[in-house]
Amino acid sequence: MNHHRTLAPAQRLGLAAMLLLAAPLAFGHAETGAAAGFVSGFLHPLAGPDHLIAMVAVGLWGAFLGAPAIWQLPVVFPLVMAVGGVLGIAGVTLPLVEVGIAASALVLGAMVVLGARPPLWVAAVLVGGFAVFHGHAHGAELPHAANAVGYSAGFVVATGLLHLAGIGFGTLVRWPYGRIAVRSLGGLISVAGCLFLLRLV
Amino acid sequence: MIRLPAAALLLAGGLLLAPEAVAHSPFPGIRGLYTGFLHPLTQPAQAMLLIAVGLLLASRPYPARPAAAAALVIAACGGLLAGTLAPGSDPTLLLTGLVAAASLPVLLRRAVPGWLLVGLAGAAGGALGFACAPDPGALQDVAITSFGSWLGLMYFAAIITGALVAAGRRWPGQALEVGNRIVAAWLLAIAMLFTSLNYTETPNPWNTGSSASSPST
Repeated sequence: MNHHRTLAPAQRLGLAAMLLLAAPLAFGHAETGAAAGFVSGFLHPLAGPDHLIAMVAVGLWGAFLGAPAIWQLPVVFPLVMAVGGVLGIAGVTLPLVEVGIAASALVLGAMVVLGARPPLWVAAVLVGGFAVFHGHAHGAELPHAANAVGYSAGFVVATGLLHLAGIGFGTLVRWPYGRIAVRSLGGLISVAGCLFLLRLV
Repeated sequence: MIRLPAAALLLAGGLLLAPEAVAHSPFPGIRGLYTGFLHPLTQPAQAMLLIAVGLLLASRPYPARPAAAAALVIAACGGLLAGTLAPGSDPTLLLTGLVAAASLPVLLRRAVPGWLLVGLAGAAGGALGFACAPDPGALQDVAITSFGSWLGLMYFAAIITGALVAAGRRWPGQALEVGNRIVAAWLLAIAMLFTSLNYTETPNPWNTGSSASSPST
């Protein structure tokens, strides 16, 4: 059957997101001004593996939960992350930020591997709570030489694309082997989060 | 043996000669026109506002859409004039504030009254025009760059809004609306972050230098 070989829209979106995430590698010359700020912000979530796996886990879990979580979690996350970013930029101290980021990978990965299906508001609160830690880290680590709008746009877009990449991969749950693959990836993310939490990596 | 048509050979010869013809500007000031035309895309805050206004106008079949488009066109002229006569102000904070104002109804799936739609589009046009105003210089250069900026604003606003409206008609389901809401959430998050960055006490290396600078160069 030919339709088994075609990609679903969400999978195409996820593939496009992954390709876009690889795009900064193609920059052959130094950027300045707004472009430098954008590149700096775009690379920030990608440079931290703890950020990266947690963002992918949000997308995976959203895809696992299905509609409306599949799109509500990626809407909630950047907004709450921005609140965390504001706190970080303003210099408001938030305790255990790194622990919160590692815990986000551990917990969200565990949700995927366990196939947890809590009510939507519980999922949104959980994801939003972790988003504060991620946003705080991004805001507190803002390089002063960066263009503000470009930096903000870069890291929000990169975060969103990581969610889309997770959603794209997560849509494999429609198939039995895909379900195993998605839950396995959730397990790997959870283990990695545990290692980050114990500072073993 | 393959025979190339005479027209193809003529075209190839013409193309080979083309680099000679574009070695200098075809007419004075054309560079300013290009600079002004592309200016809205080179500044993130301006590009974001164009997208946010496009999302707002395309989010519902508002009866006030033509009036909003007219307000944007006229206000952009006014903004360009104001920015040219009173240069030096950085409107980035205003631009991001308008990004937030235009994104919020899309994110919340709320319809805005016609007067507010027209007001937002007009404010966006004015702010974009002001931000795109060229640096002081010779009158002819300023006029050409300003015209280029106005043309660019109208072109990109029409393309973005038109594409979103057309996509809404082509794919009337929920998927496009969800995509628009996700983009609105991103825009709102970026606007919130920029606003907070603007009010921190760190030295301000983030002056985006948002005016089109062609004439002074």
